[in-house]
Amino acid sequence: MSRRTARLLWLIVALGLLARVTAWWFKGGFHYPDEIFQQVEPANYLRTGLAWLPWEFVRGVRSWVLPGIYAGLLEILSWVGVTGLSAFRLLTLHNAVVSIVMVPAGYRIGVALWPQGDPDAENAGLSVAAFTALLPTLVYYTPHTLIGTPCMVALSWGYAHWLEARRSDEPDPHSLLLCGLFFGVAGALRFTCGLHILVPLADLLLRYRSRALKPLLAGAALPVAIVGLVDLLTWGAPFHSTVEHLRYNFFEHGASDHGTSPWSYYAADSIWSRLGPLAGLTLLVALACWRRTWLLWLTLLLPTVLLSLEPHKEDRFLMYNWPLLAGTLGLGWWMLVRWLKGRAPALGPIVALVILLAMLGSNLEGTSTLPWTQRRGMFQAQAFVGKQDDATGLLYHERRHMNGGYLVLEKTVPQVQFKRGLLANPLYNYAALLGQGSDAQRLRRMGWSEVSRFDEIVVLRRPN
Amino acid sequence: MRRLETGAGRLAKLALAAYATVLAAAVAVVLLRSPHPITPAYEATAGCSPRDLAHYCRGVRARVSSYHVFANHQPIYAIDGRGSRDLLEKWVSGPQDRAPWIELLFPEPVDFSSVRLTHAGQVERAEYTMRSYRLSCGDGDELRATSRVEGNEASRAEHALSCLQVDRLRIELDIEPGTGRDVVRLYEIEVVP
Repeated sequence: MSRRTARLLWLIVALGLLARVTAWWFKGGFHYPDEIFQQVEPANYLRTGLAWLPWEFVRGVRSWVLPGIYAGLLEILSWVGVTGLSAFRLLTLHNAVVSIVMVPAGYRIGVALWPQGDPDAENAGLSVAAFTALLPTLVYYTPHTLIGTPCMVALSWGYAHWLEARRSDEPDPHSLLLCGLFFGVAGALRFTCGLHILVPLADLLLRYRSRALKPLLAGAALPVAIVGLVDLLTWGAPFHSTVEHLRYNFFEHGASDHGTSPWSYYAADSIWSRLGPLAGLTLLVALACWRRTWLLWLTLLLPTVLLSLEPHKEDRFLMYNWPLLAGTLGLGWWMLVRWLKGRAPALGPIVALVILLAMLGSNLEGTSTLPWTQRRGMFQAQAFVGKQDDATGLLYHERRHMNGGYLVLEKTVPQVQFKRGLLANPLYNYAALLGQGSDAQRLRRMGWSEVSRFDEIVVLRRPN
Repeated sequence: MRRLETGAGRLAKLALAAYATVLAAAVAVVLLRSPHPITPAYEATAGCSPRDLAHYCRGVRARVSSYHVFANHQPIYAIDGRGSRDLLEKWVSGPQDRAPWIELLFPEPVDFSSVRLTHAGQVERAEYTMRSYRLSCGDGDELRATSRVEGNEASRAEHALSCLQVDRLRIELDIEPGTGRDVVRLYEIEVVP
């Protein structure tokens, strides 16, 4: 790597960090309840014994590995006096900052896909790194405690080692070992990540036959063994959570209980709408270098098609597409830069830069429709009530998984969904309800007073 | 340039090793700790609950070995002074807890003569009423009195326990796996002066 490339890569890393911190700053609440009740609330339970845990932790559909890691991080934060909502905010910042390691992986993906020895290889790498650093939808998913967030980071390094490994005629055990390690981490944390490694694995096995198998398996052994061991210790059988996850989602079709979407959802919403008003142009650029990026396309298209066949669909299930799209966009855009430079040496790079900014802006517009601050007001209301010395119970709006849980409340008192019948118990002396809702109006008429307000949520206190 | 790359790589490895070490230590601390949830310390309200010294409005705190986190049966329900018939409003121990206990911590030393327990049999199935348990009171680590209950059938049971100037009451309950008493279901604890 030349000195110029190294400097530019550091600059891109800095910009990526700035983008992630900015995304974190504007983010509040959750993207989906799972990032609370499948991750940080169980972590809070491990650390304090205080939590509300959902049915997945009765049946054993989830591994305790990530909650264990989050419990460790919460513990470290508690050593410096940070707990509750502030700790949750810092966990999401932690994830956003850690995800910056995807940028050098993006660089290596770009270099690996460019012809070896070509003087432009480093520029292609920088281009992919830039998209990995700045692509708004990718950045959106980084300040979250979704299982997919660490998987996305691991997958991007797995892709880098895969593409580096396949450049040589003979299998490179070191690259294959690391490829197995990172794919192993992603697959072990979330089994369905496996769909995003089908093409790389098939490619390596077709290319090197059984010679690739040993280093790949050796690399994957450690993360897979850790998940298996933790499942054995917590659920009584190795890979219990993986088996139950599969059974529930694919054999019992339990995921459909959480809503169904048309088959076209992923193509139309998760990709096209997310790319924004310039989706057509963006896809054209992404396809511009298809001869070099066809493996990335296959890697993202296969899971997209397979998951489109499942009735239950969510944007986050395909978050792993975004580092791959960053790869296709990076190489496509660099092709465009070269082409424009050849046609108009002075104006070409400026036009290319305008196109880059337009694509990023368009994607930002598409990403702005994702839930950036979902339940933020409720999280803040819970944290507020938790800090009140006289709070003995909280009635909140909506179902019990639609809030920040006990991690945010930080108090060993009941917090339950508002029901009129519960008002007879003076233990529930605080309520966090929709300010304009009929329940809040009723309580106001009963003499409850408004003590605070967060977004659409009003905090009411029972009269003495 | 190569030296710069090597330096950055070495720094990254060092940072990763330091991060992993601190994180592993923190996870170990969490796993070695046995957390026991405790209700908040409320300021005692004057004239509150003269017939029941266990009420949270007197500043009493309830500490438990565990509570049922899947159904949110919080320990404060056992000291809220309500003979509730709501199935939620009871303390239930965690399903994995093989030796459940609840401890009431008084804000200042108290004298009492008996303890009244409202078991789940009062509201739900009779088999949910706990049959055997041990009551004890003390001042700090010093045990002052103890009473063992065996074969209890009463869903609302009163047990004599004479305690003078104690700051805590502890109830250790014997669960019976495979029966209705596989977890503790306790609606109310009253401490009678």
